[in-house]
Amino acid sequence: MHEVALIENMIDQLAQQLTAEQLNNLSAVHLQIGCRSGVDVSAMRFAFNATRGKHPHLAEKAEINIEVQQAKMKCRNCSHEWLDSDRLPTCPICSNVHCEAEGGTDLMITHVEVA
Amino acid sequence: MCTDCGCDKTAHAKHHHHHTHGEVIRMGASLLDKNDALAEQNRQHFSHNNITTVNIISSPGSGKTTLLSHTLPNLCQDHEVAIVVGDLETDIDAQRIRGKGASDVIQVTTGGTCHLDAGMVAAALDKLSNQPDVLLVENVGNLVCPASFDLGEASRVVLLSTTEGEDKPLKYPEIFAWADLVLITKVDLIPYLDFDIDHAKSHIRRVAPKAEIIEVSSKDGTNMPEWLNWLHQQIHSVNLAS
Repeated sequence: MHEVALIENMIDQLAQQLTAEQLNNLSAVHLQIGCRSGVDVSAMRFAFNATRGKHPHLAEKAEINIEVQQAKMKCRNCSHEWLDSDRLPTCPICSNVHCEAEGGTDLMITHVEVA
Repeated sequence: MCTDCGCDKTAHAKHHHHHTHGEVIRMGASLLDKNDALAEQNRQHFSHNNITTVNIISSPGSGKTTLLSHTLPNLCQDHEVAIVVGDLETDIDAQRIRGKGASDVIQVTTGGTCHLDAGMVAAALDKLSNQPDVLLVENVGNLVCPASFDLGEASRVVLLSTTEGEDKPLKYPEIFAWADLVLITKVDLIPYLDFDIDHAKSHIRRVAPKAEIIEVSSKDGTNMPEWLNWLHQQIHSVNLAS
């Protein structure tokens, strides 16, 4: 459940980069979570809801919005390249399961919305 | 009319009513920035002091501590080795490793945190009595979380024990993809299990095409020289680089 540590870091970053007024009016935090980052999206939401009570400076109405970042796949049989968020990808052309993955490891706050 | 959203409020009033789309503030901040900064400090410390650091990860009970206690007597003949052991509670693992030749065995009790982070390793470094040339980090037994936390290590080892079954790499692909070396441990038990080693290797290669694989048994010594050779190669490449 390292998602709690990640959410705590997220809240620290928001506190550092936003003004008290912006935090108080925060309506959404947009995250980009890579499909190969080892982070579970539903656990991130759970961790946010479980820990936000400890941070009264954060607007109650603030929500997190998570976009899953895909990885660049390359089939090791037919060299087909495509984007996929499947953790165990299968080549859509030749059905080979041995693929090389690149990227899809980001854990980023891309932007926030302030009402 | 509000120029931002076209509602009927005047421009003057636009800061005092709620737009559904709000003001967007770009961040571009990594959720791991603190850990990554500390990991970079650790990495520089290791590099300046010629320390080869290996991060060792597996499920609980797959043989990390037993492997270390059988590795140290040999490795410590040629190297000053320090160990950092992470566990949620107790110092039982550190006790098991002490007396095997390591100059320091530092137990980090995370108190519930499911992984070691770069800050915990930095704090453990401050407790070392001797400057090692090899630092082996036995991470908290967990196949999910430790992969996200760079400690500043040079190499990463994941253990897959035969008693866990050969499907683990498919169930936890991220941790295996992160490994430089996968050790299949407890191979002495294969005759008593339904463990298909070829399937296990194929699964590892599927999720970690670049990782090396060594089949070992700490108990009967199978391929322990190959594992030690791998460690010596890591030490050699760190020494070449610095």
